[in-house]
Amino acid sequence: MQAILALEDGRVFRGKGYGAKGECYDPSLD
Amino acid sequence: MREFSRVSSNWRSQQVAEEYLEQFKVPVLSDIDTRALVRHLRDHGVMRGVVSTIESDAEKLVAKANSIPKMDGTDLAKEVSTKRPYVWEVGERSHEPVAVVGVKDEPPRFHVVAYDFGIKHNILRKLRGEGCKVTVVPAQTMAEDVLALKPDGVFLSNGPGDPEPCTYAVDSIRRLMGRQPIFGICLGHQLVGIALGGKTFKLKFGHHGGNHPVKQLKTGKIEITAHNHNFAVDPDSLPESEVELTHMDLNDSTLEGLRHRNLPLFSVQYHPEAAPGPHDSHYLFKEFTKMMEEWKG
Repeated sequence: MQAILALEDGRVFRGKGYGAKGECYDPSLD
Repeated sequence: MREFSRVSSNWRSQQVAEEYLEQFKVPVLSDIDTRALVRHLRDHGVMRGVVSTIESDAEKLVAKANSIPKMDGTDLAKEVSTKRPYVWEVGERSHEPVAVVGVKDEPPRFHVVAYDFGIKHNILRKLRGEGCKVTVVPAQTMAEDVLALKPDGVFLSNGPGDPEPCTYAVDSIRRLMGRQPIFGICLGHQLVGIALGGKTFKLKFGHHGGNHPVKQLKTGKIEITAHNHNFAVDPDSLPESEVELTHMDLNDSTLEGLRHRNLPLFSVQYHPEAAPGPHDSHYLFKEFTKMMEEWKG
């Protein structure tokens, strides 16, 4: 499957997807 | 990641990574130019983002990334903290055979109350291993309630988010300063900095990783340390007459440790408890027990 990383400034990285079908957008934690 | 492996090669393997990630509902993005990503974040700073294996419209995902609340000004510590106090009893050698480690844990000699702002369990294991009975309390526990537990020392844990909105914690620390020995790690260190009158700021892209060189300013000794923080204390904002700067990051000169000149209080920005390592900074737990011993004395 395909996968995308989309950043807030509009930069996008397209690649291949593995693992679960879904989305992940957790802010990095301290 | 750059390249995802769909096979496992270790003879102990019971499951391939893809199955494991699917089981725990984790999507993975592979086959991207990870160097380009790192350079982008290094040049433009940390930013919100979305990884998706179900949406192909990039514009929608960019909009979603922009809708994520920013970490600045967000108090996440109280969200992740334990809701009720509990006692931690397991040291770091508890799972090892006695024949291998001899004594599993030092018998308890001190009672430490640990504020849970998102505490890592290995901190608790390290404290227990150094002879501390540990009572873990919620982030918003009042100082008087901590003192009522009759601790020998107070520990301020790591945690997520911006330290500035955690005013309840800063108030408690100010009430505890001078009344108990205090040791803080990561977010705990930032809260100590604010309690001492200093300011914190957000780093451009944070410190993340297990190989950051930190210098002990008094001895010149270098520790290799584990970091995972996006905020730091501004050393110029701290009162020099009260605060000694003790550790500094050698990559970017960020303040990594401080100590009060007169009160039993010290803290570090990095993670001395990191498991499996590095272990260069384990001495800090012994410093804490030594501080409590002197205070009791």
